[in-house]
Order: sequence, then structure tokens, then C-alpha cells
Amino acid sequence: MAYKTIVGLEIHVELSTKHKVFCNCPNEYGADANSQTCPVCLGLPGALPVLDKEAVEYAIKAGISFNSKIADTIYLDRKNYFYTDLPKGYQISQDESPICQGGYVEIEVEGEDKKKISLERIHMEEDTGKQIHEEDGSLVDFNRSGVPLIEIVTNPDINSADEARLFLEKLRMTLKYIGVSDVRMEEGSLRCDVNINIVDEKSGERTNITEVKNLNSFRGVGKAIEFEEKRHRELLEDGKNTVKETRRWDDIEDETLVMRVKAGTEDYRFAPEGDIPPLKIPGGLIEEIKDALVSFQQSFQVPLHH
Amino acid sequence: MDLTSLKAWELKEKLISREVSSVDIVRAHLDRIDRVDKEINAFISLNEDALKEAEEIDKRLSKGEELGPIMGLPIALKDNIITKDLRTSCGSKMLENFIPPYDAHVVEKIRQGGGIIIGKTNLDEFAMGATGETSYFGKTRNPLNNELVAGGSSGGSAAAVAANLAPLALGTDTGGSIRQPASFCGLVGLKPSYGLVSRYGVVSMANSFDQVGVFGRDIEDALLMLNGIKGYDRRDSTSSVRSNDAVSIDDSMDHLKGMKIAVPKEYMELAPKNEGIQKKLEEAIEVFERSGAIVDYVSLPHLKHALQTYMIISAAEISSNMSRFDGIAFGHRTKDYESLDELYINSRSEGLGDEVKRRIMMGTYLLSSEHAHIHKKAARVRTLIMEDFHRVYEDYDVVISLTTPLLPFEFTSIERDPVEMYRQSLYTVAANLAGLCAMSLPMGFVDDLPVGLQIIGDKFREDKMLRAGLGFEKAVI
Repeated sequence: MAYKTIVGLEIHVELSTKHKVFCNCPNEYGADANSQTCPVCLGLPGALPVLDKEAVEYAIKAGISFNSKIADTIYLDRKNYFYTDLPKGYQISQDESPICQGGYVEIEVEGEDKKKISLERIHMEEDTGKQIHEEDGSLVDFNRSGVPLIEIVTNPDINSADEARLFLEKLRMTLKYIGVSDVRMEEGSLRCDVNINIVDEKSGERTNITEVKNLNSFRGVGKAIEFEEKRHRELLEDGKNTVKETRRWDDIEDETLVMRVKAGTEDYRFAPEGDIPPLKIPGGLIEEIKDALVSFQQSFQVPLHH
Repeated sequence: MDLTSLKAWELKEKLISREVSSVDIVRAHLDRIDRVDKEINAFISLNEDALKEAEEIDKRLSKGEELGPIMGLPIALKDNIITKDLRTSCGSKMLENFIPPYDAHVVEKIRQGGGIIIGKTNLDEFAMGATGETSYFGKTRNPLNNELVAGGSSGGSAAAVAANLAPLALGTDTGGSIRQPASFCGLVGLKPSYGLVSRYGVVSMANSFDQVGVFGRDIEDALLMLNGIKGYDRRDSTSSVRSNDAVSIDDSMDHLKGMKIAVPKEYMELAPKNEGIQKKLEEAIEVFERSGAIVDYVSLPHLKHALQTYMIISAAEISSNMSRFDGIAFGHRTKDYESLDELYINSRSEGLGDEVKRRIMMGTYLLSSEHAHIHKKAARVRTLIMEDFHRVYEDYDVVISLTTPLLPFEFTSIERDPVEMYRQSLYTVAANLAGLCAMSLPMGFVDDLPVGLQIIGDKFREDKMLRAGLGFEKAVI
């Protein structure tokens, strides 16, 4: 029986701007806990967000590098949910109007033709704080709260662990060379979630999608995909199916474990961010960034993309 | 001489002429607060440094420093405006012990201008209410008759000015929360155009409606205070550069001659049950006409949906803005929890009052995916209301109406019907929906209780609104 593996990736990339995305706090990794905070990124009552220009420029740069269509207006939305590392009780993100739509990353699997992995979208959002679990309780460090992120969502074009790995390497190299991120998975400046299912090519039967989180390396991504491929296949062969759920990758045991069952999807009650009205991207800024990128690329012998 | 009975501009004159010092003025008001506020409960907190700050101002004045508009004057601030090192409670148990680490933009402006913050005033909890009865710190009484409410949600600020505890006060207005208490206490209450005054450091209720505004005993005082706080602030992305335009009124002008005034027909159909109040509006129209203004009844067809549109959009925004009060990093945290969910649920259940909870629940329901279409539709109706006003302002200078359908009423021990309470904002919500400037000014009494006239100006046309108000003020003196 032939099974096709279908993988989509959701990648969060921390932008290496000088400041956080909605306030002037420094955007630096490794400082003492809660030493890089202010009323805005702490979500104190009365504090208001202001969009950082450099973060927008970096997001546009990334979109251009992946051949995405850049929006002419930035719309920000609130994603409402409660968690200890989310000080406002909502995350400022983008819902229906991401800053970049479409695009692709071209990969070359050994012995095969070049393949374009298409992107659904790239949008801007703010990072959350970081929870630190100790024996007698949990602590929250808000240094990371408000760090600018871009979320890159691929279409389900990836069909193997190797393709996923190559995609991530190409993505990482591009982002690093255009200078928008340190892209270090170990530091958390690049995070990747996997969405995977398989389809029986003969019968057309599909397994339910599994979301895999807590991946800490590209190797881990590859291993998780291989583990899930096998798990899905074995269930189908047994006449069963996967449950639509989120699993976490355990790097020590080399397996995925159930994290939570997706009974229904959580309702994030998206609404427009009223504190930041829609912002028109100044005419010429996109061209400016494009031109700068072209001359930047030309200074390298290895082309970054086609 | 009783300094507390003087208006702000009168106090200024005495300061300039050196007849009195800032310390004299502040001390007189603090003394009066000490004597009178236990009856009224206008203040939640007092600024212990007020006299010290007044001394500093007197020193600067004696060195020849020029007097800014609010220099040396005591100002009361509604307790949802963030003041550094001075408790800011929002009238709630949730923030009972919250001492902010920063100042709101309007507070920075007051300090820079040499104004003295005398204290933080009582309000309906988190600015949600129209009676002052939902405050965790007890109700505020109307200084004109202490069996009656001072109105809300800025009841404390209105009562403070009406009781001569401060010549000037700041409030916030989301659906009428400055204008209605101004009407109930016989004062001028002014809500500026959305974007004229920075919201940085103002605790958000419904952030596309909220504006900081002013209370004064006459229009000149209100304008004095407005000029002390308005202006572009880059920390507030909804702040407008237009807010740096000067707003002033030329005293010599014949204000009302030739002014074109519109009265919404739709409001006439929603006239108050008390005919005496409606009669006051008709008298006001006569005053305008006698003074040479042209008054027409004009249709703004979508105004009949204004209240529902406001309730839907504001509830949705409230539910999101209130999420940060979770007991995690600041504010009330329950002692009674075994899980994270319990920490959230109990902290918020204990810390927040019924009206706040009611609106959070309504808003959460409206933002949920099955019902989000209602909120989206309300946003479209809001645009239609804006367009109605836009059309009217092409031909008219200002729109007028009653401020509220009610006279100040008695306190109650039973829970009021929430929908009846919301209906009070009938005439005031439109200005918040459309981002327009609006003010209430006294236009006489019915049954010995004050009635307010509402004047609504086009966005950033505070000048016309004030002109109409000043003209009316002069005509009825």
C-alpha cells in the first residue's frame, strides 16, 4: 500500500530589531529576568501599543525574499485567550489580512527536480513572556513579551522529513542573510510546529491531522515527521484512525505524546486592534526595501532564491 | 474670601495679581474636602504632596516664571487615570492597592503645566455605570441634593467641582460619562473629539470610544482645562496631530448670529417622559433663535440604532480590555485556588463587580465565532451613523439635544434594571460612536433640579461647539 505524507509547517521567527514591536524596550536575548519591560509589554492598565517601523520593514523584507505579495495596509487584530505569559489576555496579531500573502521557498532534494514549497501567508505578531517551572510554582519572565515575530505558514506541500528539513534550512539561511533574525532554534528565535497526516493513495482515505509542538531542532522535526508517518500508517493498517490532536515531541524518548485533544478549535474571538488603526504602508517603502535587497543579493555569489 | 467658590479663571487672576498664592488656594480646597467630603464621597484618594507641590509653584512664580493656563490650580482626576505613585483604583476591588509606576500623558501635561493634582475621584467601577453606585468605594452623593445620585461614571469628578472641592476636574466619557454627571450636577462637562486628548495612561473601557474630558463651572473654565491636557502624543496611536491646533473662543464675537443649528428629529421621537425637561429644550431653542441663530429639525435616520450599536461594540471592546485583570502580575489575586483556571476565575470573580461582569459576559458572547456577525454588523451601522452626522455638518455648525432624559434620581437599595440604566445614554452615545466633540451645559431647572443642554460639534470643530455654548451661556445669564 502506498501512502503519501502531507506536511504543513508553522514557523515563528523572532525578528532581530532594536526594539520590541509595540514599545521601546530593547529586543535582546539573555538579559536578567524582567529587566527589559515597561508598562506596554507588561500589559499594565492604561498602556497602549505603538507599531515599530523596523519590525514592519523586516517583515516586508522577509516577504519579498520569499516572493510573497505585500499588503498595502497593515491591519492588526487581537487574538483573545488567557495564559500566564500573555499579560494583556490577548495577543496583538493579524487575522484575515496578513502583511504577506503567498510566496514560496524552493528546495532541491537529492536526485530529484527542484520543488517549490508554497507559503500561505506571513503575518506579524508579538511574542509572549516565558514561563519557568520550578518545584514550588511557576515564574514568568516578561523580557520576551512584545518581541516582534513573523509567523510563516506553509501550504501542505511538504511530503517527507527530508523535504521539511531542506525547507527549514533554506528558510533559515535566507532569513539570516537578509539580516532579519538570528534564527537560532536553541535560543527560540526560530520555532516550528508540524501539521501532518497521511493519505492512502489507493483508497483516498486520510488520517486526521496531528499537530506536533515542542520541536527544538531541525533534526527533531525530521524525526517527529518520521515517527508520525509510521504511527498514522500503523493505525490505518489496523483499520483505525488518528484522533485530531496536539502532541509534543519528546527528544529524549524520540516519540510524540498527547498534549491536548482538540475537541473543537479554541475560539480566539478575533477582533480588530482598536488601539492601532489600519496603517497604510508608505508608497515607495516596499520599492526601497526591494532595491536594497537586490543590491545586497548581488554582493553574494550564491543566489538566495529564484 | 472663600477661594473654593471662585472659578478657575478667577483664581488665576488672583494668582497673577499675587493676591493669593497657590498654597492658599490648595489649602482652602483641602480644608473644604476635609469638612465636606465625608458627606459626598467624591474622592477615593488625596494627593499627600499637594501642598508641597503648591509651595514649589509659588517659588517658581515668585522667580518671575510666567503663569501657564493651569499653573497653581488644584485639579481632581477621575480614578481611572493613571498617576505615578498615587493609588489608581478604577473604583474596583481589583485595583484597591494598585500603585502605578508611571503617569498618564494628561498627568504629565498637568505636572508640566504646574497644575496641582489634589486627588483621585470616585467613579462607577471601571467607568461602567451612570449612577456612581457600582463603585467599590461607596456611592458619591449629588452636592445639590445628597439623597440623589451625582450621575456616572465620572460622578466623583462632577461632585468635586459642584461641591467646590476643586475648581477643575478630569473625567472620561465613553457613552456619556462626563456629560450626564455634568447635567446632574449643574456643570459644564466636555468630551473632546476622539483623538484630541491622549489615552496613554487612561484605563481602557471601550477603546474606540473613550476620551478624557473636563468639568468646569463655566465654559471658560472647561476650555482652560482642555487646553492644559490636549495635544498629540505619539505613545497613543489613536492620537491626532490635529490636536495641536489651537482651540480658543473670541470673547468679542457675537457668537450665535447666523449660526446654523440642527436638532435631530429622531431624538424628538424619543422625548423624555418628564415633559418639563423637553420644555427646557424648546426654551433653549427659542434662546438660540432670539440670538440670531437658525434652528432646524433634521433627520439623522440611523440614530434610532445608536444605543444598540453602542452597547454591542462597547461590550465587545470591554470584554477584551478587561482581560488583563487576571491576578497574575498585578491587582487582586485570590487566595483560594488549586489550579490556574481557579486562579483566574476566583481572582476575577472576587475582584470585579456585577456590572463589570455583566458587560464582560455580553462582550465575550458577542466576540465568539457564532455571534461575531452581530458585532461586524454593528460596526457597519456605526459607519452609517458617522455618515449621517457628516452630511448634517455640511450644512449645520452644531447639533443640539437634551443631555439626558432624566433628572437626577434617588439612590436605590435594590439592583436596578440594567437595560433601563443603559437607556439613559440615549442622547449621548452618538458622539462617542462618531468620534465627535460634545458637551453638556446647564440650561435651568425642573423641580429645582438641573437640566443639561447637549451641544455636539463636528470632529475637531471644538471651536464651533464652544462658540455655540458660550453664546448660549451669555444669553441666559
